Amino acid sequence: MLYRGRPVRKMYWVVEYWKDNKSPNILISQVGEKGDILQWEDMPRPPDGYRMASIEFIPFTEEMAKKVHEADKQIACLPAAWHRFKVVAQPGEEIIAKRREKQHITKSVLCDHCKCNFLWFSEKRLSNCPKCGMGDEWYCPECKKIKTEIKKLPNGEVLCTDCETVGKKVGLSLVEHLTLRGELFYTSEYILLIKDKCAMIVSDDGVEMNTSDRSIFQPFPELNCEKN
Amino acid sequence: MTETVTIQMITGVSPTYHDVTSIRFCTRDDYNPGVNDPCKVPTSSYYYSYWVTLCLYLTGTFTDISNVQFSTSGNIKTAWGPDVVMLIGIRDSDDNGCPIGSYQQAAGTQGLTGYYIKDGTNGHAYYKSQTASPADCDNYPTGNKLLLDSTHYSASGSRTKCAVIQTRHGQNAVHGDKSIEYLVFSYDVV
Repeated sequence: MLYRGRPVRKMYWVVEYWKDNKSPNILISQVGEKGDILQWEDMPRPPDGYRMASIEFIPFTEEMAKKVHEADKQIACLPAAWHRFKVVAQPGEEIIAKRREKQHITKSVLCDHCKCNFLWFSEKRLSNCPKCGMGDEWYCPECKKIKTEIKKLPNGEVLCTDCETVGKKVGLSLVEHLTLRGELFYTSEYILLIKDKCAMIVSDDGVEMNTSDRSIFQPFPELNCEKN
Repeated sequence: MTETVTIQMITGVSPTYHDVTSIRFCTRDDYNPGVNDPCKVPTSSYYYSYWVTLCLYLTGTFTDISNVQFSTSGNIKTAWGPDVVMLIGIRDSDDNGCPIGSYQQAAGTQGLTGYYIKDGTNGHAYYKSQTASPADCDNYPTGNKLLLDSTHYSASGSRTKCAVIQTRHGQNAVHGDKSIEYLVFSYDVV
């Protein structure tokens, strides 16, 4: 999925500090109660006897997405119907959560009639807006209006037929309603990483696991199936 | 606050940084050339566009930005027809991006051809002595991105290493506008 204007966040991380290698005791969320975003480097260090044992990416709910955006208008969030993803590390392993942002440099077409703005990759110029049908028009500076009846000469000149009937030769000006403009599009991936061991990458395209040991990834409880 | 990452094109001797949302290959050192000094088709050998230098400008709040990579559709040659290719400067080892300190202004014969990145005399100093020749950008689709910069940046105001790209046109290239192709810069944010 490509987004305009800025990266769009769909997930946030929650870190678990475990004591004595047992179930989680301390949970730290990237998103605070007021929607403020915690930077990784600002995360409180584990108390003595605790270690960072797991990280989970959780999709934004609509309410949380709004709260984050209210707290910082620079951040755009969208709720996503994705699963939660969690990675659990063994003692001594370093885990980290990242976003991989992608910026696509390209151009889009803007229709100045209906303001429709869309991607167009062909080398051929689009003749009509796919939404409202608006195409190029010809304007007569003498009649001071758009002309639907025109006369094209072999040399490419375009004349006003109304002016021609009264003995005037008036060239028409091309009015282009579809214009190309440079635009950036954004996509994001979410990465859970055990340093020097493996990575799990979640995106609109699905889930990718770069590891030979899948046992380190704990499925979300609802997905946990018992063997028949 | 969050991170803001802007793609910038570098021009001039000084150098000067310009935020860009698109680029147009041409035969002048200009971030916004319009239709001036378009690329030319030669009668023999090759003509080139002036090379284009693109970096990421990192501002705002972040812990770490790293792993800057470059990719394309991998289908540019097919889209642009015969004898036209988009090239990118690469190194024999390590990161392929050009550090800001090694930036070199694009040059050539304005309105006709730019210098080839690997030209032994007038090429880009950071790439011309490498064994590796500038690579076809089609070699770097999403599944095989080119590593530009492995540096870990933590300071707002940093600029990453640059992609140095240009187009090459042979005598069989077809005159006229080429289709719009997208370029992708990706980076990891912590």
